[in-house]
Amino acid sequence: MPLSFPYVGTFTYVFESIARGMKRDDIIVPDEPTYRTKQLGSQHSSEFVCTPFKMLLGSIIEVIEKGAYEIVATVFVDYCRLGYYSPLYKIILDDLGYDFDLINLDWFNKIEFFTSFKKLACNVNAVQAFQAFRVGWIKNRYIDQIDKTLYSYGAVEIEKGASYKVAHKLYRQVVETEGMKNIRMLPKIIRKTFDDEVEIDTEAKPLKVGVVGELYAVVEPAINLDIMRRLNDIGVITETPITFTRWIDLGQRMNPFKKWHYKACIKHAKPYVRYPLGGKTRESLGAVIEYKEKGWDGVIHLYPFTCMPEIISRSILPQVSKEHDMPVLSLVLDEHTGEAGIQTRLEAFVDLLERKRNDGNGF
Amino acid sequence: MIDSKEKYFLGVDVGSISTNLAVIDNSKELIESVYIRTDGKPVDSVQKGIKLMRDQLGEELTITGAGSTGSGRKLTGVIIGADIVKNEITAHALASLHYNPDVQTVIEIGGQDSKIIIIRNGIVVDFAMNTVCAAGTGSFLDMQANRLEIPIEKFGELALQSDNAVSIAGRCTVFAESDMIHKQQLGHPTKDIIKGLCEALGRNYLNNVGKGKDIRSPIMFQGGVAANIGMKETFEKYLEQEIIVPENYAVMGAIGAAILAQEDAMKRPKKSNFQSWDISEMDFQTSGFECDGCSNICEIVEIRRNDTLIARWGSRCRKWDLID
Repeated sequence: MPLSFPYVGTFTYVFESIARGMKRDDIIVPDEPTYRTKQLGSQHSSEFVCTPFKMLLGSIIEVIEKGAYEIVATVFVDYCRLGYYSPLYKIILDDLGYDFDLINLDWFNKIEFFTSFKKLACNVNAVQAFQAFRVGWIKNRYIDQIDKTLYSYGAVEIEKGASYKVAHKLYRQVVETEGMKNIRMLPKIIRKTFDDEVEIDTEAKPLKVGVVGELYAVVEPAINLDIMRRLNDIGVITETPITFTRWIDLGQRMNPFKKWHYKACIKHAKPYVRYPLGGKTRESLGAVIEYKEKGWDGVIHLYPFTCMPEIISRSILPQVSKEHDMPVLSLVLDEHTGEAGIQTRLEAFVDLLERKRNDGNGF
Repeated sequence: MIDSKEKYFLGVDVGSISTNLAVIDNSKELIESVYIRTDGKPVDSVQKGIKLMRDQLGEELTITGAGSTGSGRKLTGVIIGADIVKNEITAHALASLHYNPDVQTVIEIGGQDSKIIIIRNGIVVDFAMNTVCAAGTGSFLDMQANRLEIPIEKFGELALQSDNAVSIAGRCTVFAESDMIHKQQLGHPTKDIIKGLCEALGRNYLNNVGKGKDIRSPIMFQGGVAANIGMKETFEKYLEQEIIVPENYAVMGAIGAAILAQEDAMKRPKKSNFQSWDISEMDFQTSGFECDGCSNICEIVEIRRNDTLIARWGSRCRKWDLID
């Protein structure tokens, strides 16, 4: 039965790798979300549900239209509405009369997790399935590496758009590389390709801005109006600590010496919020302090309209920002495509950072 | 007034409701300003504004640098040949600082946007704009003035005449309007309703845009809505501080753009890209088409000057982009 999954930023490449590793030749790779995806999603969801719900629903409908039957809907649940996503998708898609099978990979429900996983891995035995998953989490590291390199090279590249071209080529290369020996060569190849093919301005002193907030809002360019690239275009280096590594990278999770960025953030956030409130509430707050300590210039906080956990962080952020003298810009995202508003805020924020750095002397 | 040795700088601020132009001299003093309505046609209104400015200043005046700002800044930049295109927050902050170097808070309410800018020691340290709601902005006041058949210029005066504001929900324009209609049908006098509206909008602004911000005096109130004395009173009432409305409150964005052009020209002396005063006679055509390359169906816009393509933008993948 054709297998597919909704599009979630560059994680899509990782998912594709895992499915290929499990010898699923019948996968249907989702397309990047477009205007139509947004429309499809909001047409069939309740008005006040969070924007990621709508976007993912749109993406699921699109893959079903392309012929998918088995669909991996969510990979984990949280304390917020994310836990309702999958049951609601089932009801909505049933009502629409589609023929499909939603697969839930919910780690907290071990029995369901393993039955679902078995369904996914129908072509291979348990050892091969685990191996495919392992290759997936290792490739995830390299996809993250490309993202990270891209968002810093993009700010200082001389020919605009060069690093984006290189990155897209490399994403494909990561997905298609087979054999552990070749995969282990990838970090070197990524570094070398960027160094060789992107000419950078070594004189530039770019600002550095961390992007935090709700997972989907941060990783999916279609909802955040390509904020990383917008920042790069105005000469700002950016990065996001929010990737899928912390969930799927069992290798790093089992390493007791691994220093997790999000754990450090949660510790920083303790004076403000002591317990998990879902989403990335504590991480968003703590990241402001973490980036300050790292010597970065500012933090941008993204959250989808009506996202409950991030509304909490948004209300506490001004205080954190003031107490630690770190500029924070909170941006609310919805289906809108009017880019002028977001561009104005970003430019003004960057002006502010630049003048702060130069201590008030010019731009 | 016009000195041939002096350098002059032009700033153009194209907003949703109004188009403002300002010409300043090298010491950043305002020489002349123009305030007209955008009426949904930014290109026409820029041309009209330039023509008015030329009529007021004379064609001999040369422009050493030009800047554009406002939500239509990109388009305007191409039309007039701006040397610098900057966001309106920076522009407004610069203009306020020029007017009063000690200013610590700027309240700016325009047609579609309302913003707060926090300044300390002459540096912008924080700012906020209205997020997903247009309640409390100029266009809503404009609409209500139209509905009540009161000229918008009289709105503030009328509010001042009332000493019994009715309560109006200011959180959402839809709620506010139904409240207003309800109160009006009960027989409340118009001036009380208007005063109630001003207070509701002021509260909404402070709770929504000004949320969590450290509002310190001196506070400057500018943008088109600053013409409304009722709003100024409201802010004074809730903030319990004096509010300064600068003389040129409506064209502060344009002054800021001109200052940016002046600073840019001082730092990097070069020949200005500014077209010429003949912009109003040139023929600008904007046309659009939908790209069918993918299902994003991006709306591409092309701008032509006298039949030569000068700019094109709008595609997410950037394959159509063309900006000199």
